[in-house]
Amino acid sequence: MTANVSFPEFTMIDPRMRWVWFAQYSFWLSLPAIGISVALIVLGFWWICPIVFALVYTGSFFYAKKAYARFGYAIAEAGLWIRHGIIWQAIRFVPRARVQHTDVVHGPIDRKLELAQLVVNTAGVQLQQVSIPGLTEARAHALRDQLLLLSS
Amino acid sequence: MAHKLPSSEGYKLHRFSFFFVLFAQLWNLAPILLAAIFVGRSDRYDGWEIIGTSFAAIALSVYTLIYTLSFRFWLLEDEIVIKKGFFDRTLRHIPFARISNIAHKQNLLHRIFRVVELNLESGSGAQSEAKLTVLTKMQAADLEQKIRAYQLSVARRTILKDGIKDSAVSETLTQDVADFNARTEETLLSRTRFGDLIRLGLISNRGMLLIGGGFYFFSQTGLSKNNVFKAIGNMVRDWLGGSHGPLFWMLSALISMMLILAVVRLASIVVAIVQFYDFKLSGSESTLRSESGLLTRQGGQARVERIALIVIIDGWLYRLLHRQSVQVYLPGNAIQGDSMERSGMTRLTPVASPEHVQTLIERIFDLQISALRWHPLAPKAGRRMARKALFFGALVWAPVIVMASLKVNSAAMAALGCAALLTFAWLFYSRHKNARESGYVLLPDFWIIKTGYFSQTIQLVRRDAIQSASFSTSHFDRSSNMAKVRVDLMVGSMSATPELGYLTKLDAELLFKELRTDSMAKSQSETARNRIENASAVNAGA
Repeated sequence: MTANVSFPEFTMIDPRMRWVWFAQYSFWLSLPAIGISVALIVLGFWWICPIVFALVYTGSFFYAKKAYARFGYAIAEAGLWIRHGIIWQAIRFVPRARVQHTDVVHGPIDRKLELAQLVVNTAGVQLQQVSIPGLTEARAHALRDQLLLLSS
Repeated sequence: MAHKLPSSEGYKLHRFSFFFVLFAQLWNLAPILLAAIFVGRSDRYDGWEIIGTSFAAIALSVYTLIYTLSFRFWLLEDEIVIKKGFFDRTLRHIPFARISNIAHKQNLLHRIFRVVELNLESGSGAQSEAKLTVLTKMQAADLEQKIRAYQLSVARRTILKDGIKDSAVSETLTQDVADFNARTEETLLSRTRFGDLIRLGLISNRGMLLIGGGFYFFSQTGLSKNNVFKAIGNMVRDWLGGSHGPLFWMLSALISMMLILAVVRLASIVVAIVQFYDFKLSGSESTLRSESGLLTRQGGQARVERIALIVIIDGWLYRLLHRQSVQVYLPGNAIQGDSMERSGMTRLTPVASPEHVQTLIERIFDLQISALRWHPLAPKAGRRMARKALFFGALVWAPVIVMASLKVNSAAMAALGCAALLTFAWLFYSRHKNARESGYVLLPDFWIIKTGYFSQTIQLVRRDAIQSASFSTSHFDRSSNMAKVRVDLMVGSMSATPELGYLTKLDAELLFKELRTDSMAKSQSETARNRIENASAVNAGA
């Protein structure tokens, strides 16, 4: 039996998403890093603190870079494809007819960088939302229209 | 579809609705009230508690009275229209075609007053579309029958319009209802006997919640559960003539464990009887209806084609007692709020013999489970499952062995070592067995997944209910050329996710392709069918 499985050509998102994700990862990882640093200072190992923060920021940087390289989307006639994940890599497919509604979302960093996120909702339970971050405002609206137009 | 109030008077709720709604609201507020009483308890009493509680009770009663008196509903030809609320008025139109599940509830109080609570559920969200608290039994039956008659009539019209052009297209709804009544003589498909409920109690761990509640009660009331264990210790010490050696500890632990096991089983039997007493499943050509319960009779009615997922539960205890259980998941019957159970129809049978389960599945879904040829997992699946289990087993045992080596003598260490080795041997064997017994079958209408052996589930996933499909690989999958396929359904349970891992990458890719292509094709045809249904509904209304 030969496999006749082909995944579509995935489109990359805006490269500035690397910095958005870097900011997000480093912010959330900084919180435990601060706690660890306080404990290290109390215990007299203050000199380890810069190493902890260096690890947090370099780790976040490379993780964001890798996440960006891995993330892709494709709108085919059949539906929407999303490829994501670094350690747990997944390819997800949402048939057009299953799209319930869509949202175009702008976070605070997104607004600063003039980016938008397209959120596609299905009637599912566990995976009821898929989102494509790192789109320009115009691209997000165009994708939404394309998705809804063909699904209707 | 009109979006204004119908001209007729409409129906009111039952005259006792006020008490039932008030009782439900008080029940929901009970934790807050109890917390206010116990947490806010102080030695200084100034009467404000009484004034505050009385004021809240009066306000709640007035609101409930206005709410129930202003509640109206209209049964139109193709929809139910509900007007509720006084300050925030809501007018809701629910097309009959969208109602996937009608759940009815009758607790002891309902039965005394001969009323019933109805929940109309569609596939949207976890909340029911409409809650009618309460109706007379006759009103509820009329409503159920009208919805079912409409749904069958639309289905027939669609088939006729889609297929052969028949003069029957012009049949009136009244004729359809008459035909429907003749064709939908309900037959009893399954009934659970009392002995089976005892078996279910012995199999399931439903009593754990009751025991947990009991421990909480003990801890809150000052009664100590330790008294029981102390009594066991004293009893064993008396038997052994005052000895406190290893035999004392072993016997005490054994008796305590047996006692806990016995109490859990007893509680599980009680819960099983209360929940599933006189479980009945009846059905006609297109719909199923279930009801069960000792104090509260709960159940629901659903169209067969709306059942998105069927789960047959099996396992070593089930096999020992020669029984299986079958759960069903419908769009809309999600776990709501703090409820531990889903509402509406949730089971085809809580417990029955495997032969009866086979017959039920064959009769309702036209599927012969025993005749299926299962596609296996990847050849190395067992090895990977065992490796994972052994890793976590070692994580648990390593600290135990290290801690014990510092405190106990060599004989006890040898015993612990043997126990650890036995655990590892069991993990190795059970994971290989699980992998050998797992597999899947892809049929035109269903994707059937079998997982595990000692705790086995067979999931029958209706392919036209698939919302999206996912193909994923972990680092270990990639290094061993395996992958996982998962689908998302429109059914409300986090625990019932149809997925299958440890497949060869090739199998997973083919399966993913089939499921996504199929779901896409089915979903498009379903959308088209829905549109035709809606069009027919509009025509019928006109």
